[in-house]
Amino acid sequence: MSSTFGCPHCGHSNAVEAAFCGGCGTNLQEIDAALLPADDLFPVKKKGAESGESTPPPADPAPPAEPTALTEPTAPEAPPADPAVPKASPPPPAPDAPDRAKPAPDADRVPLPMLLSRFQQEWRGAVPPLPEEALQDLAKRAVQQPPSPERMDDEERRRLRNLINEDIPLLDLPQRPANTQSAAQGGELPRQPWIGWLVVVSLLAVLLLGDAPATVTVHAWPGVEEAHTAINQLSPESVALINWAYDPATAGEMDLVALPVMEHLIRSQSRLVVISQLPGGPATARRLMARAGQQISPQERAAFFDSNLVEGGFLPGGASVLALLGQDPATGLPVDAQGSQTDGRLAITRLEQAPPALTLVFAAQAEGVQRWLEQVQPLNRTPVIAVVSGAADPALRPYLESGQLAGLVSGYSGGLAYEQRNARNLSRAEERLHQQRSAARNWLLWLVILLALLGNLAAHSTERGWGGWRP
Amino acid sequence: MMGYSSGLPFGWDLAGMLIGYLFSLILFSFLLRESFLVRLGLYLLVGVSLGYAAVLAWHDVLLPRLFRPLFTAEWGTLGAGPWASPLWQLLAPALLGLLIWLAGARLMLRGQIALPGPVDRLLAWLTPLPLGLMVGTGVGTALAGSIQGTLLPQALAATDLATPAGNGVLAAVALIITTGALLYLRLPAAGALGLPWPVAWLVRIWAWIGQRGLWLAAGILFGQLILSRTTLLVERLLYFIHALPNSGLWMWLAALWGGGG
Repeated sequence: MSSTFGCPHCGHSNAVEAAFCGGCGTNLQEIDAALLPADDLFPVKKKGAESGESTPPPADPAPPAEPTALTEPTAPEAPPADPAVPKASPPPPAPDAPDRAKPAPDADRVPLPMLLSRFQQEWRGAVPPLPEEALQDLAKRAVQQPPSPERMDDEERRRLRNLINEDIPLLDLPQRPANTQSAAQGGELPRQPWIGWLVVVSLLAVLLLGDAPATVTVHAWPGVEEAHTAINQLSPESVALINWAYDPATAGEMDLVALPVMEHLIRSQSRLVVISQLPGGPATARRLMARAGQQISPQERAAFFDSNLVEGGFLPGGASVLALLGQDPATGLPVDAQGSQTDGRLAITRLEQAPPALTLVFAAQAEGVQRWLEQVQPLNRTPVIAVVSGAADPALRPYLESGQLAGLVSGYSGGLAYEQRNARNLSRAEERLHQQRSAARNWLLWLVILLALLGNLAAHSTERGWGGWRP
Repeated sequence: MMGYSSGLPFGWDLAGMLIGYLFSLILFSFLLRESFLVRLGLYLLVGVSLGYAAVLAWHDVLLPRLFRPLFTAEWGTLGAGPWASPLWQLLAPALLGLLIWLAGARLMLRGQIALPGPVDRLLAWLTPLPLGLMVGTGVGTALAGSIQGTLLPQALAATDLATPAGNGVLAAVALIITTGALLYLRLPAAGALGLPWPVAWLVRIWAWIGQRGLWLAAGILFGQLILSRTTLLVERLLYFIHALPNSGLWMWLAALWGGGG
């Protein structure tokens, strides 16, 4: 049995070493010890430990009974292994009594060294280790902290929550002094909701009222030109395989990168086989291709959708299936829902004899491209172009430098640079959108830099005892 | 109708846009406070995503690739044409999938339904097999892939002076930072070796450089992440600004208003 304490958000009983609440997912590392009463930080010790003995392991390895909220599991303790050893302490309180209902005396607490050891051993690697002095200071203050009226409010809320068995919004709680205390130690800063408001409102103002630049200057990183050249060299009869590794969650950025590349691919008149390992991938691909189709002539559009496009569909199975795709694409690629011999199926089957002339990976995460480069490309040796979000760029650039990637188009600026190479005349609405995006991004980046500087200044001032900085 | 479109009539497209707009606003209301509506939006998002994935797995994978050929083909071979499948190629994954399903059911129903002892023991023995197969295959594939797709090509490129990655200065800096990061991460072990003080001093400086390299890399990754999320936020706000005016909703309202007037 492990010691438990109640989550301050939902009351769920969690193990002391738990990083997140098992009931509501609250980050328990953020709990400030100063707010918790002493029995939360130092749960009631077991009987065996109380008498100086180690607690024997439970005889039955079956899962424990459902613990009641805010209490220890109520299974009776095993008798001491050696009855000759006298008990040095008085009998413990009844095991079924809630921990919070009675103030635990100091003698009933887990020894501090044991707690520190547990913190250091079990949280190592997951969080930066806390210095022992800080923990000891934290423990002293927690013991001295008297119960506050806010604490009583929390208890009442929990009782009410148990009664009606539903979640009650707790966000109207007064801001806890916990974070301030923690900030005084140089730890986390209190959450500032006004920052979110400042970002959103100022961005809306820039988008609606701002003076957008007349021309957008684009810095093209290496890889864009190479990608454009590789697609230019596709012959009308060749097959290009597309791995669609993003879904609507990241489509806001990825569509901006993928759209000009897809327009270029459609104009190349090569056959495209589109597969995705994400459930939402095929639908996202369909939507973007429909958008790209609106930018080309009706004849080109008809030729593409009627004969040049093969929807491979959803391909579950992760990296294992990708390896199969590199060895035997006809077996690895999914079939259409009817399992019939469609044109698309034949095109996929032909990949077995002749690998695709080019592979494109549209991915929001670097792992999507890395998995392809690790599992498929070493087997079929097909040139790969990565079309990725800005966040994936640093992890993938070494693959471009080593020649494993034939091209790399990343982030909004990469998409914009590619669009300029397409040399398509933009409509006034599209130009206006580009200008708005650029103005908003520039503003937001300056704002982020400013906030980061101010945040660091605030953290340093509180850490050095300058009184802190709060708006 | 164009091959790739939603395939829905105009009114349904508009309804979908309005629902998306409404739920986007609901999720953005988290800026005000967490409320029942925010949670409803989150639950719906997760539930719809899971439901869609389940339907897609059935429609695109299980039905056409397993059940239909399994129940319609002749014994001996299944399917037709160049992709004919022997029976075991379908029965084996079906059996393994069933075992995974039974493992989940056994776990969920533990303590609620008491299975007969021999059945429970048989399941306890059999159900780890497909899980072990999956995990083992995944780990083996990932390990082999990382060696053949990342480790070897990157090492070869770093030592090839003809490639940009193998360029003298860049390669030297990369080598120093990489080994320094390795030393920094393993410094406690290196310190325990009892090295003579000049070597220990050199190792410490090298590890110090590696630590700064790690900081630099983390900063670059974080900066790119900020750029990426910035674009996402701007796009969502542009959606709020432009989606309704461009939706055609106003034409409907104008038509209704004109008809009513």
